[in-house]
Amino acid sequence: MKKITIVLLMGLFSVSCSQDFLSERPNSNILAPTRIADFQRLLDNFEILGVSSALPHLAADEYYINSESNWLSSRSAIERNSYIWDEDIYGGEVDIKDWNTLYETIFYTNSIIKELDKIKEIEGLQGEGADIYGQALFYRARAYYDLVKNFSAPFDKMTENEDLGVPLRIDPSIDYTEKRASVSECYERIFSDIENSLRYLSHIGPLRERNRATKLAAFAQLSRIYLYRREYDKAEQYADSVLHRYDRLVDYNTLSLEATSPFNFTHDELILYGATGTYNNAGNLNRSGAVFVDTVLIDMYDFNDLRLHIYFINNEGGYTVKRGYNGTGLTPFTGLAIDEVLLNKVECLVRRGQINDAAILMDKLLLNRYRKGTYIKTVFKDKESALQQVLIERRKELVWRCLRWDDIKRLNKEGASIVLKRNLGDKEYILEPNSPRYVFNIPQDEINRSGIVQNER
Amino acid sequence: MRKLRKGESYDRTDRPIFTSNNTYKSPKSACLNRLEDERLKYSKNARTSCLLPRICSKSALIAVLSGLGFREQKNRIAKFLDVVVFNVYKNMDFGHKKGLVQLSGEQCCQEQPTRNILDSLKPTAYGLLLIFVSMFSLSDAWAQSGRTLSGVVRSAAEGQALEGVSIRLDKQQTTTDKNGQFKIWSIEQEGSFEVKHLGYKTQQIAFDALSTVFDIQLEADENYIEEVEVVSTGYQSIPKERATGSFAHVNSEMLNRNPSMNILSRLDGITNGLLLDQNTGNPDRISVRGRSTLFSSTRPLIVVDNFPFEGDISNISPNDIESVTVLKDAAAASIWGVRSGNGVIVITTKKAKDRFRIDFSSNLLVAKKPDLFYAKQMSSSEFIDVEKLLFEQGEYDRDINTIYKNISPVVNLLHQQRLGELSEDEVEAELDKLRENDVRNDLQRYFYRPKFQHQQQISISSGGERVKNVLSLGYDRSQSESITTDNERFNLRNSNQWTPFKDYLQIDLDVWYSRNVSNERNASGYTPMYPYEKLVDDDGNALEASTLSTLRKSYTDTAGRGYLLDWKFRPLEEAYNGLNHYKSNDQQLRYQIGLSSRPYRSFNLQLSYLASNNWMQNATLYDEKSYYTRNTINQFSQIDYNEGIVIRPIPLGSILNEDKTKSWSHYGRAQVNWNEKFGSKHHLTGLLGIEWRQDKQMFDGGGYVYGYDPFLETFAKVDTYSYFPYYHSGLYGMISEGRSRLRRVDNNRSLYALMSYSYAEDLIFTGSIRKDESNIFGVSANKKGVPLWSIGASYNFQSLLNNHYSDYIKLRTSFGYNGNVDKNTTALLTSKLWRSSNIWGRPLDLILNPPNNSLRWERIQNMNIGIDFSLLDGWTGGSIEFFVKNGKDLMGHSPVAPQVGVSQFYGNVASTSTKGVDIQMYFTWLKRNNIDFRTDIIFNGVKDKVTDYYINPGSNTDIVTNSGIVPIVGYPINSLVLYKFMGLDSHGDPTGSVDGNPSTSYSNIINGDDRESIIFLGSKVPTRFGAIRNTISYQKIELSFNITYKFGYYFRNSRSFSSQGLIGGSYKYSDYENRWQNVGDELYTNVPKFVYPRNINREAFYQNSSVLGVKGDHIRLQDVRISYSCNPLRRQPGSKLSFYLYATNIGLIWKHNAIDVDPHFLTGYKRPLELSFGTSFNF
Repeated sequence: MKKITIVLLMGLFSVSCSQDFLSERPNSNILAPTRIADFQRLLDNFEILGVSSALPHLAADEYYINSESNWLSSRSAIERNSYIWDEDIYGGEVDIKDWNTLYETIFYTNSIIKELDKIKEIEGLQGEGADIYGQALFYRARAYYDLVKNFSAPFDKMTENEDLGVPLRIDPSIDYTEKRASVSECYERIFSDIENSLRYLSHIGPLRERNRATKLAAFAQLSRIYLYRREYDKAEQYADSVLHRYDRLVDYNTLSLEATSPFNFTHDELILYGATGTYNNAGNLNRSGAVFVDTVLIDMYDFNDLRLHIYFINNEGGYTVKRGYNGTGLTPFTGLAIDEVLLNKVECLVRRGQINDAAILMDKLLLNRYRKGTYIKTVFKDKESALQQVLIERRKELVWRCLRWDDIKRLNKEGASIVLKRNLGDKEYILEPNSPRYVFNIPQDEINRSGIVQNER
Repeated sequence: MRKLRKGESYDRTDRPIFTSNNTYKSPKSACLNRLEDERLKYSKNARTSCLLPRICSKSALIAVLSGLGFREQKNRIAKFLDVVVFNVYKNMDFGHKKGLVQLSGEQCCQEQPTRNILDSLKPTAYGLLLIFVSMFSLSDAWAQSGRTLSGVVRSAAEGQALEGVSIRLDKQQTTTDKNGQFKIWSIEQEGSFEVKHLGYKTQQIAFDALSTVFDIQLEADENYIEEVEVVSTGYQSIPKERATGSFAHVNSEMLNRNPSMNILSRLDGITNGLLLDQNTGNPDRISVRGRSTLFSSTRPLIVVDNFPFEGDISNISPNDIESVTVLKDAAAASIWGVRSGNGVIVITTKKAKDRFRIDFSSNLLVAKKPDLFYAKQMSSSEFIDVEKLLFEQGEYDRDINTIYKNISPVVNLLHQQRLGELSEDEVEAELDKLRENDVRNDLQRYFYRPKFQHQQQISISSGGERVKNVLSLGYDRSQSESITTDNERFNLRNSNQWTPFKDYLQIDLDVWYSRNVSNERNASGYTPMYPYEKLVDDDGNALEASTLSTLRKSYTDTAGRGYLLDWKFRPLEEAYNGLNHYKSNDQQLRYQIGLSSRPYRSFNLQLSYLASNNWMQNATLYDEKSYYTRNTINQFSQIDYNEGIVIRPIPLGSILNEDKTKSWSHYGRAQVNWNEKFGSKHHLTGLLGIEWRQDKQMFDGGGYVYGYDPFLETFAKVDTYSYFPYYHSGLYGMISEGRSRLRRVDNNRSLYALMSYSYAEDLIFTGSIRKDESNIFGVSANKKGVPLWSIGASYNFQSLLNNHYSDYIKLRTSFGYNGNVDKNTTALLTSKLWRSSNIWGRPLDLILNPPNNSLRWERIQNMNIGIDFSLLDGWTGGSIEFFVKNGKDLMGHSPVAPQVGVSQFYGNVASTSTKGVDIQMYFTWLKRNNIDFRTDIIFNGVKDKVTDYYINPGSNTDIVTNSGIVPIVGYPINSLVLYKFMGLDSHGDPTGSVDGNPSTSYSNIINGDDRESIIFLGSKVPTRFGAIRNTISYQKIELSFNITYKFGYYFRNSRSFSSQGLIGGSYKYSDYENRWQNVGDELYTNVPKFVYPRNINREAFYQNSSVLGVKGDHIRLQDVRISYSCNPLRRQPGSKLSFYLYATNIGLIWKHNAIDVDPHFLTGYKRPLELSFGTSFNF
């Protein structure tokens, strides 16, 4: 008996005296991130951080639905309503990924930045820690850019202080809501974050892990943003920052014309991975017989242009799109790639009249796009026609990447007067240049819960 | 708990008994007879003062005799000596004034367990002691004036000493002590005194000059069966009359009334304050006194034999359970600290009896096949018409264009007609054939069977003075109504109690093993996608059918040109051959050691330790012939038609998916109890303890094993890292590996104390305090938690009132705090591994919890006022209690603006208030020799509301369509709020209210915040519920039936017609035929017309509109039981043989709703009538 008592007492004391008894981790899968590697794993969550909005694609003119019944049978109201630029594109649907996932990204990056700020204050950030800090800043900026371009009026230097941007949150606390900041405040935040990130990011890139932000990605992103803002000198400057460091292109002659996934996750042109949320009508390899690539666009391709065969399949009824630069992904590619940067540079060169330099650069790209031996050197006659040619090339190259919508907005601001039309049954829907319908509604659940101002469409 | 059972009594014909008619037999002969009684019962507590003289003389003799080899005669000699000593002492009266030596010599003879004392004391010291004690005794004798009457009070049936029995002689009053002993001072030489005890018949005991020692046997008053009980809190056992808290007690007889295999369903309808309902928010469906938390666990803490039980409650065999106590208020439950907020259910298992006893019980349950036609749905013909309509609208064109996508047989026919492959007449003829089919006919015929269940239990109890033991074995098996499901349970329990050194040491050893094996031979299941699907052809062959994963018939007919495996899904073949066999094996070994010692006075030290090991193993074996396996292999197959080879990344063979969970629990407790009387009226008891608990769990998900051969135990390696194209779609996927591991540790340390003071046994004060600490994240935050405490008081008015109408009236009240802990949240930013790797091979994490520095544990302020009473000689009695529970610092959980970046806000932001009443009463209508008629009534009323909430819900849709709880200040926690329905308009569209007028602007109604557009209907959880049970017995036959009722709640009819759902392919609508079809229909129906395409807002409005809110109120005939019991062995007085017939799921007596739905079975089929036959035998 005594022995049992002693054993028992010893057992009890050994438990009670253990220092770790109350600090043992309750769950092996859950941790309070404190180490640098913990934050990298959060940033590697590309299924949140790598996602951007598909709305610009759904509303743009790169595809069409071939009948009213097929339009009606779309799986969601967003797909239906955004196709005809309806006043309310959500049709009662809530939990809109095109808004929510971006703010989730902002929450992730805010959390990481806040935790790293604590470490920064104490011991400073070097090496991997600094790099992760830079990645978080970059992703926050990228998310804000996606939001502000979709949910605010097309950028206009004149009105940027009055135009409503999006709520700017830089604190991860969840017990407050922000009103909409102005567009200029949003861009201030975006630029300061990216510029800051350039100070911390330690890799030039691209890395094998194409979801991780690098200096290249930051430059390419800046080039894209300035182009959208029609600040062409800066767009060119940052395009140069990329191309001076890395300008490798994929020769499409080396790719299989039959493969439905012509590219892998780590191909040479890819600077940063990115994709949209899932919508049937926007999906790659859409075999529904309802959604086809715009025939006007298809007609632009020369038969010897390999892009026609690598990007598209000629199905019964029309062309549909294969998988793009995000490897085996089924959603439009929205990441950053060298071809886009190169075309930014070409456009900027043309705009400042350097058409010869532009033509050389254009050749560099298109040599890799045409069947071997068939490519005829680009000749730009004048600035005007060169710009038209470059913009067409831009459509042909950057197809199914959500960039067309932003280009239309930008060009219409410059008086391009691009009118979009849809035909369904006997009805025709028209989107006039600079229409307020170029601004998407803010999802209703956001309006309901935070009371921020809705966009007029 | 102790309880007298009807028809059970010891054979005491040769013993003196003061029966209720007050016949009195000589105490002298009583005492002598008693010594000769073979089944002499000894009291455990020796009173040394009067014991010693006897021992001295006896032990000296025995020492000599045993030394001479007469050891085997020891017992007989001891008994002989008892007689001798008795004769010497019987007329010596040790009685004296208050105090010192308390028992008479005669009583010593009766009471002392001579044999043990002899064994434990050394004879050498006896001499000295003898002298001392004799002198002491003599000096006492001198002091005598008047005299002491003393004795012991026992229950007539079990011979157990009764504590707290009130003895009254003229103006004097006393109560019996723990050993049932009493003494009372009498000035008179003769007279009578009253012996009164709750639950027993009151006796007048006459005495004369000769009688001084009494052995009083109290007969149970059967009306009081519920009242004489000892409630267990898991830390202590207290007689209910000494409790200030609120307890609901269910004894073994009531537990056995319902022969269900699960203990919780046995408690349904018989437990005061306990509700079983699907809306209680926990998988066990139970709640105690309503809900006092919003989003934390609502599961009451379940305690089995003093320690929390973390396993699956269905592993406990109800036949092993002696009693269940539900702790409802602060005074009862606060001792369980942060886990007591939802109430505590204390389960006490059967303990060893101190004689040889065998209990055997057997039960057999049968039920008919369920009726699948109970729930109305669209007919096949109606569904086909809709498919035709949608086909014309082009809804299926996208699917048709994708050659491998599944389309329904109807769509396929229509497609063939459009292509010109079939004529319209041919198609119509085929469709007419399909219109005749109803898949439920096949399902009912081939997939269901009558339910069959049996339970067997035997327990063998044996024991004597020092060792008691009970061994019980149980085996239960159930064959469910689904042909592929069965379940088997085995229980082995051994409970052992040693008392080697009397009070100095008691050891309890419990070992418990249980095994629960469940089989589901059709784990993939089958839910028909079309109401007209046919599962068997006319020759009895299994036909192919569709599921979400099947491909189009015309595609699988030819896919792979013979190189692939058969790609068809035939539900009947899968089920009949058990091709998807899920087996779960849950084993638990629990052992418990308890040491109890009383080293000094009444101080009692208890050490207990419990270790529990739980092994759970689940495995699903997909046979190589199963659709799952064939489909998995086919979809990754690649065919080289030129070479004629098939490359299969997943090899042929079965697929096994196995996981194991191992859990360990180590609980230790050290506790000091004391129980002291000061003077005659002050009684102080208390306990102080410390407890450690550790629950560890290791989950090992073995993942998928491919190419598995169950006979050779071999398997193949597959490449789970590369992307392979799917054969049919050309999309890419990886072969799922599914391996995962998880470890959980839950450490707790608690300190607790409890104190109880009573004055004259009538006025009682109690208090308790407890502090808990645990290892949840953010330790600093949870340490801030204030200690939880309670105070309570009770007063028994009976002696004050002193009338004949009441037998017993006790008022009690308590106040204090319970807690509730939410282990899912922490004060820190936490993340968890989400996927093992991203496409670049890196692990990725998910943020789980945003930081929250102000996190605290939830507290529940709990107040209870109750009265316990018994009136008119037990004609009626019961208890009435009022309670108020205020939840403070409750965790709130509400949708936040998406810009926040998380979907929900979670923090200590809410308060709630719950008020209620618990009434339990009985009435004895008739009580004659052979006929008894008694009614038991339970009424529970609970009303809760949110009193404070940090975040106001925004739009109406957040309140209405949210599937969880949306706290709204001033309304019940779990409210049913719906859009105000204003009828259909002339287009057949539902209208809601905008500015009081009917409107179809659904978006405004849904997204607006005009609360005039929504209606609060009521609570989703019953607010008034209870039971009425009538018991009629005639001789050996007893009939009882229980009527239960639930009132004051609403549910939403989820089976009303939805256009959106129908377009999506659902056909389970009860009111499709009533839908609006023509102008004017709006006058007769509220079911909207069918619209295409999907209109989400319209659907969201109608499906959540007030016209679909239904009152759930109903009265149910819960069960009927008829039993017959007798004693076939007259020589074995305790034995009993009984047979019973028990029926449940009988049906509703009354329901409020007009949609003809039993509120318990809103979806699926209604459970058919279940009949149980059983027998139990014990001797």
